[in-house]
Amino acid sequence: MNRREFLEELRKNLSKLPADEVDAAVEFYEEYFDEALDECETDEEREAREKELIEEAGRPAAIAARIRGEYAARILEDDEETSGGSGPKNRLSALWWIILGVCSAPVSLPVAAATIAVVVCLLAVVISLVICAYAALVGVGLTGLLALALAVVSMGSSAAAGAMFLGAALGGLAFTAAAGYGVIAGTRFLAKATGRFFAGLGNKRKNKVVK
Amino acid sequence: MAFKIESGILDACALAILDRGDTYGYEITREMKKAISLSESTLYPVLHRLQKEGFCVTYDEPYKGRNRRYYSITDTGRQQLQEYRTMWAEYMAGIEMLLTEDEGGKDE
Repeated sequence: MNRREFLEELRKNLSKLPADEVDAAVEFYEEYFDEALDECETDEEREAREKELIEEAGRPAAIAARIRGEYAARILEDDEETSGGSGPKNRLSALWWIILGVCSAPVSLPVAAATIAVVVCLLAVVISLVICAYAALVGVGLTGLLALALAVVSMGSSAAAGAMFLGAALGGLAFTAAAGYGVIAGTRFLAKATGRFFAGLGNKRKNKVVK
Repeated sequence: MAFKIESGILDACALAILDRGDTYGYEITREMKKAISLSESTLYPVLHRLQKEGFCVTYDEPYKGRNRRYYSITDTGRQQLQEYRTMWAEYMAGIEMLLTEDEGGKDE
């Protein structure tokens, strides 16, 4: 790995931080290389020194992880100061940062995969509940219509039977209408809540301001 | 194998170096390395933290056509350094006492 690759890899691993934090970190190491190589007199020396530095510095991913961890710890402290014992949402996003910061790639990938799996399952549950509600609605509605049809048919032969079916039909259709309104409103609410939940997670990460 | 140096101690050492005069990252690392073994990459998080906590400020000065970022200790930083010096004296005395207890002759 050479100096350019080192700095690129460092920048890549820091990319989730705010731009000024990333720039400050990368500039520090850039300057470090410059200073060290400046002391060398020949190109040979410079090459050797560069290799030496990169070896001593360690993996850019590890350095980035430490920097991200520090950032997260600071965010957590800032939150507790400004919101007087932050709410659960702030802690969640800061905690997420710490997890990201502490884990280096080999560990964070399975963690991310597991998190995504949980989220997908939650969505699946929500969606299937909605589908069940609509299915039940359609079922009751169709039964109501069937009862209406039977009412019309049996009106001719038996007034009592016809009245019974008519009652069932009206009851079923009324229920369908009322429940239908409720299910549609409920679905809209669920959709909004889910949207807000995910947006909240995302925004907390982007809009953090560091003093 | 060497003792792992706690980050508070690194903060204290960095502040002590800055107290002697404004200087830049590479120079600070070089000073530190004279006394303790540390990796090239250890110092950035330390300096950045000190800056965010208000114990030092930075300013840029052009040098040979590029930028050199100088770190300068603040008054708050000097106060913190004093606290660190006191903490260190106690810390060192404590460890010293534990580590030399077995040597019969050495007594308080």
